Parts: sequence; C-alpha cells; structure tokens
Amino acid sequence: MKSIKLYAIALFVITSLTSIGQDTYFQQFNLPISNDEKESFKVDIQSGDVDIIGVSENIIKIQAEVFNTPGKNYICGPDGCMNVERDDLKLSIKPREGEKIKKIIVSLPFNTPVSIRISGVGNVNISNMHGGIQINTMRLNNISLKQVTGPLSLTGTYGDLDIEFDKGISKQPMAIFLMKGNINIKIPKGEGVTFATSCPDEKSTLKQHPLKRVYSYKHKTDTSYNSNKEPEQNKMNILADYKERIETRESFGFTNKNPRIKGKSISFKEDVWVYDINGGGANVEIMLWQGLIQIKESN
Amino acid sequence: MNKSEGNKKKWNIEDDLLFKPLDEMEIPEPSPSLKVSYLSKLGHISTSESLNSTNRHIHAYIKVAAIAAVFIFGWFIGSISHRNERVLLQDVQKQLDNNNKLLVLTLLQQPSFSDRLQATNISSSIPIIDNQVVTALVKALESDPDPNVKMRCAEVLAAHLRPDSLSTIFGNALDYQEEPIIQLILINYLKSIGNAKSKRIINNFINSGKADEFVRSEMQHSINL
Repeated sequence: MKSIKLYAIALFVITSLTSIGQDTYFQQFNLPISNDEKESFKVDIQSGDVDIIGVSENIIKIQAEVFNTPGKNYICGPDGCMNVERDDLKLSIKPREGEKIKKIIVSLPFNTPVSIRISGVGNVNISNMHGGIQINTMRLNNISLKQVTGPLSLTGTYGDLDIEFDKGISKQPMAIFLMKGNINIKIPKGEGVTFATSCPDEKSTLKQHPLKRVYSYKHKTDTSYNSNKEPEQNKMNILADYKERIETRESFGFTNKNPRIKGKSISFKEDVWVYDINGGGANVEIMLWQGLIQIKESN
Repeated sequence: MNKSEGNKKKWNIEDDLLFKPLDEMEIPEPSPSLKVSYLSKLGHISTSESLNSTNRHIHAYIKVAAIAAVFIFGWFIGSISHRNERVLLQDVQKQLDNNNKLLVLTLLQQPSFSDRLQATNISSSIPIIDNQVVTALVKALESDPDPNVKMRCAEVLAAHLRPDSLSTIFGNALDYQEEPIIQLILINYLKSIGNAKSKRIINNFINSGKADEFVRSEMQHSINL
C-alpha cells in the first residue's frame, strides 16, 4: 500500500515536471497598421512553424503558441512571451531568451512584404499573399506557398517546396535555392513565366553539357532529414507549353567542377537551361542540388 | 521588139523637153574669194572637230575623276563618320556602364530584396566593375539579409576579380555567414580557386568552430569538397 502511494507521488511529480517542460502559452496580438504599403512583416525564429494568411483587412493578427524550453526558468508574464518590435516600418517577431516557438499564425494585409527566417526545424505555410516573400530556412523545412504572386526569394537546405502562383505573377526577378528536396511549381493557365535552372528537362532536345551532373552524392548527411521520399537525382519535368534554350552564366562553382583558369583570372561559367513557358515572362532562377523540379499549369 | 524601140524614142523626147533648158544654163565659175572662204571654213570645221574630240576625252577623264572623287569623298566621309560612330558608341557604352554602376549602387541599398537581386543582375552585365561597385558587392556579400542576393554578389565578384583578391574577400566574408548554404558556396569557391591561401582559409574556418554543423558534415562526406 505504501509503495503504491510512493508510486502515485512519483508519477504526480514526473507528470508535473513534464507538464512544466511542455507548457504552451497562447497569445494574440491585434495591431492596426498604417496604409503605407511599404510596411513589412518579419519573423526571425530558431524553430517552429509559421502560417501566414493574406486578408483584405488593414490589421495584423498574430497568434503565437510558445512553450518554455526545459531547464530554463523563464515564465511568460502578463505582457506575453514574445517581443513584437515595430521599427522603421518593420514589424518583427523575435522570441525572448529561453522561449521556443511552437507555431505562429499570422493574418496580414495581403500586399504586405513578408520576410521569414528559421534557423532550425519548422515549416512555412503562406497563402493569399500578393507582396514580396523572402524565406530563409536552414535545416529541415517544408515550404508551401499558395495563391502568391511574388516576387519570391527562397533559400532552403532540406525539404520540399510547393508554390502555387496566382494570376498576375510579379515581373520582378525571383530566385530559389534549395539543396535537397523536390520543387513543385504550379502556374495559372496561360501565364508567361521564364525559369532558368542548371537542371535540364527530361525531354530536353538540347544537348547536355558534359560537365553537368558531375557533382552528385547520395549519402545522408543530416540525421534530422527523415523524409521517406529521398529526392530523386536532378530531374526536371515541365507539364506545359515551353521553349528551351541554353545560356552561359556565372555559376556558384558547384556543378561546374572544373572552372577555367585564364592567366590569372578564373571563370566559373556554366550552361543554364532556360525555359520560356507560354512565351516567357516573370524571371525565376532555380538552383537545386539534388531533387526533382516539376512545373505544371493549373487547370 | 518594135514596141520597145518606140518606148525609147518616147523617153528621149521627154528627156529633151525636161533637161535641155538645164543643159543650156550657164554654169558659174567659183570666185577666188569663195575658195578662200571655203578653205577657211573647212579648216575651222576640222579644228573644231579635233577640239570636240579632245573635249570628249577631257569630259570622259573628268567624269572618271568625278566618280573617283565622289567615291573617295564618300569613303573619306564614311570613314570619318564610322570613326565618329565608333567613338560615339564607345561614349554611349561608357555612359551606359556609368548609369548601370549608379543603378547598382542605388538598388543595392533598397529595402526590397527583388531590387537588390536586380542590382546583382545589372552588375553582371557591366564589363568592368570599379572599386566602388566591388566595395558595395562585398558589403552585400557580408551583410545582406537575403542569401540569394549574397550568392549573386559572390557570382559577380568571382567573374571579375583575380583569384588572389577573391581568396581574401571570400575568406573575410566567410566569417560573417550564418547560413550553411552561403558557407558552403564560399568554401566551394575557395576550393575551386585552389591556391595555398584558399586552402588555409578553409582549414582555419573549419577548425575555428564557426562552420555550421551541416557544413562540417558536408565537408567530411562530399565528393566535391
């Protein structure tokens, strides 16, 4: 009987300690914003998911789910768990010392420029945003963008990237750099877009550069990358009307393993496959080390 | 036979009637002055004929000379205008490069990442970048918040600078980078440059503990690095 009591007490203590470690706090901010379209929204977090939804209201609503990092004695106070800084037309969310963001859900005016930086694990979902979107992720991060027009600047290490463009794709330059993962891009029917990539289409009629695909490796280097879908070796698949051409450009020196040395200067030039879809238009540069790029028109 | 003889007789009578008065007319003898006048006119005609022929030759020469002159003049004007055109084109190109340079410097300061990406695109089209542009690109490579902008700055610098300068710039920039992708790109550039300085920078960076865990892992396993 005594031992049962001890077990019960031990269980209670363990449960309490565990619950302290996993305590989550919800907080909601409602921030009216000026009509200045240049106001931008910035999220800079260690880890956690970020969901952003574009709305037509001129107000920013932030719902944050935060939990204490075990071992740190930080307790959320009445003023919340996060810093929301408003400086120079930039609204930034940064977690306070000792906090860990689980999820941030934000609704923003749809034309607000957005900048997201996640240095750890966490996914990004953005929908119905018609301003500039800049996402910089550094670990395992899946990114999903729906009903966006750009411009976009996306960089990622591991993870899949899904982009569903809305009508009226921005004509400003866009860039996507992903190390390992699959990129799926959907464009509205008949919308002109130009994709430049070092990865040739499977059905390409152009001759492949002899230096291409020299750099390839299949080992898993990051144990946190547990995706069941191992990215395929560089492949491009376009399900739309397109014209292809090859351009010679400067490269990052990855695919071009043998940079040409002319006298005292060095050249990293390499061939880039350029696909003009529906006559071409908005210029999107894609750099993918390993994975599949699929581009198709929505119905 | 008799008939033809009759016809002949008839013709003779008609001839006599027509030409007899003419035959009877007194033929005037040319006066000595007429002869002189005739001879002088003949001389004049022959002189003018010879003059005409000389003139015709002269005209032909003049025509040929004129055509040649026109050609030479055209060529001369053409060469001058071509030279001017070339100078003008060079001036326009210089002006364009200068405008592009100013555009790059301005766009690199803009808050919008797409403007800064545009700046790097423009800078890659400038044939020779000066120190001002190099400094702006190096600054962006070290501190721009957008990794894509940083990567393109590295591209442009790699296209324009010599390996020695590149080693120094990329080596310094490496210390500022948090993003594993940028760290890897700079290391890969340094490895491609391949000089002793680059190798030393890579080793120092890996041993300093500044290298991202992912980068260290790639460095150990990757075939390319």
